[in-house]
Amino acid sequence: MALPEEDVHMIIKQVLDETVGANATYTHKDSVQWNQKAVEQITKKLVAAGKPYKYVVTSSFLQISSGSGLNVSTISYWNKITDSSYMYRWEAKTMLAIVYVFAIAI
Amino acid sequence: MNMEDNVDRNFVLRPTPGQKFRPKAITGIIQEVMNEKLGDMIKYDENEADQASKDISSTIRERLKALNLPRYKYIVQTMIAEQSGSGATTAVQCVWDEDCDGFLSHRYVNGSIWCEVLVFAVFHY
Repeated sequence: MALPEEDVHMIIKQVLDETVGANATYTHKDSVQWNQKAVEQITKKLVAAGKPYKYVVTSSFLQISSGSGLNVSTISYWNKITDSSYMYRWEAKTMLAIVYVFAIAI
Repeated sequence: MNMEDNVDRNFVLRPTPGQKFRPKAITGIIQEVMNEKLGDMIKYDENEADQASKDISSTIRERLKALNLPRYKYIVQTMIAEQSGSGATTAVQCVWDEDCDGFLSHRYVNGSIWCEVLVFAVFHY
């Protein structure tokens, strides 16, 4: 069985709290590094759960400025009984992280 | 072609060379879809962006399905944001079979919006 949603959310939250922290200020250079580190940690933890899945993790960090709009949509073509997707939205003072995890059964 | 054909092709471990997902060959399709759907989006509008991103994702998915690559699963993610000078980065990491799975990203930018599409193709054994 796939990982329960709460577990995945917990992993993502933990990793982002650790690598970025709620009080971080957005700078482009930092965000690229944080982002790479974050996806790496998230994938590592997912794999450590030892489930027979392939994983795709995408994470977008966005600077929050006055009222700029954003829209994300995902669509997949797969077996919805075995495969699953997770979305988590994480916010700090000046930035927003949107993390998607896709688990595809092997 | 669909996933149900695994009955008679039960032990397929690799796509044949002609049936492999090749990101470079798909770039054109994605570019075309994005140009078509975003060409007349001069101003960012919440509802319009919502509609457009869904539209782009599903159109690309249909186009990918039409390629008739057996046993491939697809994930399409579309992000549309207002061009307001705020920073954004995207990072991707995958745990999969490098040999037969593929990934591709494409960005479209104009004066008022930017749009990024990520496409993943995963081979199902």
